[in-house]
This record gives sequence, structure tokens and C-alpha cells, in this order.
Amino acid sequence: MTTFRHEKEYVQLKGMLAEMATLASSMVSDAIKSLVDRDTELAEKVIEKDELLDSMDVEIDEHCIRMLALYEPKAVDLRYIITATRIIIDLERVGDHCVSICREVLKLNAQPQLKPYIDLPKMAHDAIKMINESLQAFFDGDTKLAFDVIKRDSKIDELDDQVTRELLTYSTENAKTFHIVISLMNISRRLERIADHATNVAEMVYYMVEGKIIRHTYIDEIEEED
Amino acid sequence: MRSFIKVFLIIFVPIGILLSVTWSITDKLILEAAQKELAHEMASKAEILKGYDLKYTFDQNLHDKFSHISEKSKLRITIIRKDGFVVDDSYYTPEQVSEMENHANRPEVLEAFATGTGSVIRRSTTAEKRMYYFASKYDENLIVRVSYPMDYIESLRAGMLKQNLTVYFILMIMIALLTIYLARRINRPIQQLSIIADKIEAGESKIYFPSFRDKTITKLVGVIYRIYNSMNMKAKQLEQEKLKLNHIFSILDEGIILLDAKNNVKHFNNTAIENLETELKTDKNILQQTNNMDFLSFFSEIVPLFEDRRLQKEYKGRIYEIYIRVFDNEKLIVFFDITERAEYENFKTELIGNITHELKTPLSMIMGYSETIKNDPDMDKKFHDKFINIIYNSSNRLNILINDILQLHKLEMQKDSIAVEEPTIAGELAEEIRSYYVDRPKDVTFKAEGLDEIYINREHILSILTNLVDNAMKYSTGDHIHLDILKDKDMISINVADHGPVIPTNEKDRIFERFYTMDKAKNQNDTGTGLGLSIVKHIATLYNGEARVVSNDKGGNTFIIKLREKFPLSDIS
Repeated sequence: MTTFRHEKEYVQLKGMLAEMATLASSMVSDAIKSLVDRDTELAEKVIEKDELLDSMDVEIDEHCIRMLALYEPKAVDLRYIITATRIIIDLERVGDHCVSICREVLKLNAQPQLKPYIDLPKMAHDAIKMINESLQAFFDGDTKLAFDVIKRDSKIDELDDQVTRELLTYSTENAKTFHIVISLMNISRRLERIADHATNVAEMVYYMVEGKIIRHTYIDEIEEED
Repeated sequence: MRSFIKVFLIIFVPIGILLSVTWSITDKLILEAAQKELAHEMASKAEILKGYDLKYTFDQNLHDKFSHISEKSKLRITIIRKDGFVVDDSYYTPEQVSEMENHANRPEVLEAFATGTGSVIRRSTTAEKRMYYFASKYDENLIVRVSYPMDYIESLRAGMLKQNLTVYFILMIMIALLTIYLARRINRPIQQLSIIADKIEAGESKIYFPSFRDKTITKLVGVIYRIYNSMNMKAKQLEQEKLKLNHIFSILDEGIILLDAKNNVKHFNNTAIENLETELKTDKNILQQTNNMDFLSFFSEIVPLFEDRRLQKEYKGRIYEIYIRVFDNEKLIVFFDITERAEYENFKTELIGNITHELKTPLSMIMGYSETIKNDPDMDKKFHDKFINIIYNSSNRLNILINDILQLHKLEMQKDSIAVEEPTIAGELAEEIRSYYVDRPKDVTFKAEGLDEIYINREHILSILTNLVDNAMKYSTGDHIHLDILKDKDMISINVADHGPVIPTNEKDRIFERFYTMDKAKNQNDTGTGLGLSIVKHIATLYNGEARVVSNDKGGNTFIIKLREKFPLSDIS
């Protein structure tokens, strides 16, 4: 469908995006692993990795601008590149959230563990899956998969609410654990935000394929239209 | 066919032109010669006539003679006076002669009077024919003119033309035939050579090489044949080399992908496809093979590298060691699945960490308390005894731990084939277990029905039973432990059931790992080494059996250990 699909730059862009997405999702999984295993070293590593992610963001952005200037793409091609530039913003934000999570982990590791973590790893797992699938949907131009990702966002939101409620009960039981509770709530919120970014990517995929912007729209409406 | 026509024309046209030119020249020459001959003849005839005694006036006698000559030879004889008066003419009667017009202005007459002879070819006004006139002076006032109709020359020419044309056409046809033959002879082998060359180029396997009469062509064909043969041989060799290489590639455990300068896949082996779980196509960019994100991510890091490199990467949950060799225009990617090795190394580091940790705990107790005793010799007897006791217990624990580690190590070192020379007697075994657990807070029910001799090493079976019962003693909250040994053919099944609490499902496999304890906090005061179940599992593996844990209807866990009896080697028959 795309006219410049054979071009070197296009292939390169694809590869770089995949690399960046893999890095971002590995950061999420490492961040949550550092929380569960109380691994301070790993948390610090994730914080360092963010620099790499930022440099990739800049690199891909420049690459996209060069492609826009060089090929003056139209229609699908144009949407493809625009989507790519949007996706990297979301991925970069995912990295920032990971850094925040790891900062909290560093604080938490200095304290005794409040409770075993069950829902947070589950949230992280879902969020990683959403990132990977939204990117896969981008590569395949698969709107069905993109919708699937968008739908799952509410599940993560629910989990976030549940974790927040649960943590609130801890804090009311013991006021001394309050700062721990706040850290954990922050982590939960960050994971929820990461899922939101995956949703953004999925929405952009729909835009790329169909040329329609579906942000700020209820998913049921779009599906009804289809 | 075109080349045939070309050859034909090249030969035929020049010959044809040459022939035509030659023909026209000779024709002209012959005619000229004939004309000259005629002139000469006429001159000599005029000379002969001059021998007669000619008169200035008409003479019947002479006229008769001349008429006779004319009748015989068509030669016209005219005697003309200088004033143009025609004295006599052999073609005409005397009456006609007397009426003939004046001939003074005839060119040949004028010429003859001037120079002595004169000749001209012109149309005769009297005879109305083209005639050849020749006039010769007899004396000052008289000339003899002989004339002959050009009929002769013309008929000569016509005859010659007819004959010559026939010859010309026959010659042309002969030349044409000859040329066709020659053209064919020259053209055919070339045509055949061209066909052979075309076939070779098209890569046809069976090519017929005909024999040629022409030596040069034969030589040429020979050379082509030899070149073709050696080319074929080379191609075959190359093909075989390729097959060999492919074969070597295909049996390698390493995945291999060869990329060209544009990152198109040039070659890959089966292992590569298996490891990547992606179909690869040659002559297609590696990043365009699929949209799979893991694949793209895996290769987008490798593709921009332009120097030899070794790196480790994860792909779909497996760890690969990747070697990248960069050649002039190609890039060789070799990747090797090192997941197991990496896991093993991980496991080893963890194990050493665990062992040292486990050894360190009792050792630090021993060191700490003995140091206290050493520094305070006048210590209260009560404390002294207590400390000594702690030191003794810790040494004991250390001893048990080291024994366990040694046992485990021995089991790991054991070769697969073991043979039990002396059977274990079930009754004795039951007695020993009962006496061992007689004073414990929990009841141990031991059942070994229908069993007599068990071909399992006594130490091994005791180790399994004590380890499992000890564990049940430690962790179960119930009061009973049920121990069953069943036998089905040569399969011994040991079941140890307790009353719970139930081990969570996701931990059921992990508890057989070394130093694995379900909940670290809970186990701190226990004396277990963390190696018991690992030893049990190893023994089970040694007897081609298995060790697993399931939940039972008593609300607890049942450890099921299956062992295959190992009979003495001599009994196997």
C-alpha cells in the first residue's frame, strides 16, 4: 500500500521503532522486577536506561523529519510517519514513568516491605502486553488488535482503583506506613499511565490505517460505526 | 535464413556485375572488329575493282559483270565521275542508272576525291537501307564506290546477342547455383554453432554437437565443446560445494544468516528459522521479512553494526549469543542458544551463594559463642552450658548440612546405571522407621502391604522416607503422617501424606529445588538444610522415577515418589 516501502529509510524506521518499543517494555518489566525482588541495582540500571531511550526518541524524530522532507509522502505514507513521531513520544513518556517507578523503588527498598505485591506485577504485565501489542498492531496495520488494546485499558484502570483502595486501608491501620503507601500508590498510578500511553499508540494505529482520529471518543461508538 | 541470403548476395552480386560488364565490353569489341574487317574487305574489294578497265561512260559489258557480282555477293558497285554523274551502278538497270541523281555531294565521294579513299555508314536514299560505303579514287575523274548493306553487321550482332545472352544466362544460373551451394556450406555450420551457443546460454543440459566437414569449424566446435564441458564440470563442482556447505550449515546448532551490503538475506540455515520462528526469504531485506516486533527489534540492533562483534540478546524468552562477522560486502550473523548455559550459570552462582550462606549461619554461631566463652573464662556455669550446647547444636547442624551436600553431590555424580545387589527387606525398613519416630509429637502410620524384598538401595529408600517424614513433622500442622509403600510390578511408589497446610500450586515444582523454602520468614528457626527434597528428587531420577507433590483429601499434601527397582545385573535375564 505504501509507495516507499522499499526505501532504506522506511525499513530503518521500522527497525528503530521496534528497538525502542522493546527497550521501553523491558524498562517496565525491569522496573517492576526491581520492586518485587527489592533489587536496588536493577532499579538504578533502569534509571540509566532512560537516557538511551531519550536518545532513540531524538534519533527517530530526526529520521522521520528527514523522510518527510525527502519523500513528501502523501496519504497513508504521511500518516505512517506522523504516527511514528507520535508513538515515540508515548514510548519516551513510558520510559519517564519507569524512572519514576524506580525512584519510588529506591525509597521503598530502604523500608521493610509492607505487603506482598500481587496486583502491581499483574498491572505491569498487562501494561507491557499492551505496549507490545499496540506496536505490533502498528507494524501489521491491524486495527482489530489496536481495538483490543484500547479495550483493555479500562481493566488496568480498575486494577489501579483496587490497589489504591487496598493501600488506603493499610494507611488507616498504621499511620507510620503512610509514605510507603504513597510510594506504592504512585507506582500504581504510573503503571496506569503507561497503559494509557499504550492506548494512545493503539489509537494512532487506527488513525494510520483508517485516517480517522478516534481520540476522546468512546470505543463502542467507533465499533458501532464499523 | 537472413545470413544465408546475405552470404548469397555477397558472393553472387559482384560476380554478376563483373560478368555483365565483361559481356558488354566483349560484345562491343567484337562488333568493332567486325566493322573493321568489313572496312578492310571493302577496301580490298575496291582495289580489285580498280583492276578493271573503267570507262567514263556507261559500258554494258562492265555493267553485266558488276551486276553478276552484286547478285552473288550483295555488293553494290557504283562508278561515279567527279562531276557527280553516276556512270554505272550494279544494283540497277542501265535505264535506272541514267536517271540516277547526281552523287557529287555524297560524303564518301567528296572524301575520296580529296584524300583518295572515303568511307561512311549511312542510309542509302536509293536503296533505302543502312549501307556501308567505301569510295576509292580510280583516277583524277573517276571513283569506284563499293557499298554493302549493314545487314551483315546487324545480323552478326543479333546472332551474337542471342548466343551471348544464352551463355550469359546459363552462366548466371550456374553461378547462382554455385553461390547457393557455397552460401549453404558456409552458413550452415555457423547457424548450427549459433544454435549450440544459444542452447549453452540457456543452460540446456543435453546439447548435441554435430560433426562438420570444415576443419576450422570442427576445431571451433571442439573448442566450444571443451569449454562447455569444463564449464559443466565447474558448475557441478560448485553445486556440490554448495550442497556440502548447505549440509554443514543445516546440521549446525548455531543459527546462521548471511546478509549482503544492503542487508538482504543471502543465506540462512534451518536452525535460524527454528530459533527465530519466522520464515525467511532470500534476497529480501532482513527487516522486511516480517512485522514481528521481537524479530525487528532483534535485528535492528545487529543490522547497523559494521565491525565484528559478539553480543548477548534475548529473543522470545531465550538467550542467544550472537557473533557478527563483517566481510567486504557481507555480514555473517551466527547465533547460538545459550539459555540453558545461562540458566545453569545463574543457578550455579545462586547455589554457591546459598551453600555459603547456609554454612555461614551455624559457623558464625559457633564462632560467636566460642569467642564469648574464650573471652570470659569465669562465666556463669548456667550460661557456659547453654553456650556450649548452642555450639554443639550448631556443629551438628553444620555436620548434617555438609553430609547432605555430600550426599547430593554423590547422587549427582552417580551414573545412570546402578544396580542393587542386596534387596531391602520391607519389614526391617518398617521397624526402623517406627523406632525412629516413636517419641515424636505426630503419629506416623507406616503401611507396606504385600511387600517383601525391594530392590532399592537401603540408604536411598531410608533417605527418602526420613526426609519426607521430617518435612511433614516440621511443616504440617496435623497430628498424623501417613506413609505408604506400594508396588506395581517393578515400580515402587512411596506416598507420604500430611494434613496440611496445602503448598500453593505455583510452588509445587519449586520446592524440589535446592535451598528453596516456601516462605523465608517461616523457616528461620528450623533446622532443615533446604536440601532434603532435592535429595529425594535426585534419588527418584536415579531410579528412573519421579517425585511430585499433590493436594490430598485430608486437606494436606501427598508426596508421591516413584522408583523403578534396579535388579542385580546377573538377574536381568
